[in-house]
Amino acid sequence: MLVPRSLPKELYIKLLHLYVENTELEIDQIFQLYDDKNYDKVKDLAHKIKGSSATVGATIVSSVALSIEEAIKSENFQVEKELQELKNQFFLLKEYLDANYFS
Amino acid sequence: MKKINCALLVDDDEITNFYNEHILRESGMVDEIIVASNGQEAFDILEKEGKKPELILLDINMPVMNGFEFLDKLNQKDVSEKESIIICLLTTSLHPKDKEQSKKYNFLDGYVKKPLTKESLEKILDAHFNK
Repeated sequence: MLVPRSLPKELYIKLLHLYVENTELEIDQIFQLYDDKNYDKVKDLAHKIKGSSATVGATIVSSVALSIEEAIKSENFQVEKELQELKNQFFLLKEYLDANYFS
Repeated sequence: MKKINCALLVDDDEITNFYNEHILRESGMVDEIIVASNGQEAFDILEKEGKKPELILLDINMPVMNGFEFLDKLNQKDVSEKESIIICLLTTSLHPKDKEQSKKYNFLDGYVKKPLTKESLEKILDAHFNK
């Protein structure tokens, strides 16, 4: 779920806080964009989530975001399941962070 | 190894910039680090602010002006100016199209996979600043 980065602990926690704050908003946005059928923006946002998740070590969230980006690139716009999976994995990670890093 | 006066990080993702800035700072090899959130901001830093970074780490997918559009604009500048900067694409994109497109910029110095690590930064520094 999380491959911790070799940063000083305080800095890593700051990075994780920033990640959770930004990604929570981005997940709301990606669902809205999908409802609006704005698939180009869905792809761009999935790409962004993939990158930031990889940076903090959130490997599963990153790979689900990649699957959304790749599906839309190949013009497969039926990604409801993947979006739901993205949301689930992110909130699982958030719970894990709350218990292990933010408490 | 030669110390870098100024490095420019270009990425629209705050998390990535935060992390990359730390990796650069930790290396102890960079005096000044500037962050831009897209190609246009980066170009303005070069043009309007007259900054002369020796290293640019550039994302591809960004709003406003993406990495390739930034390289296109830079391509219109003097040969000596663009060739005096070490520019590496730093991206999660493994898309063959992106790799192929990057080859058209002969002043580009590298294609590095995100996330930047201490090791991948050392490789860049070794290859280009080890004089």
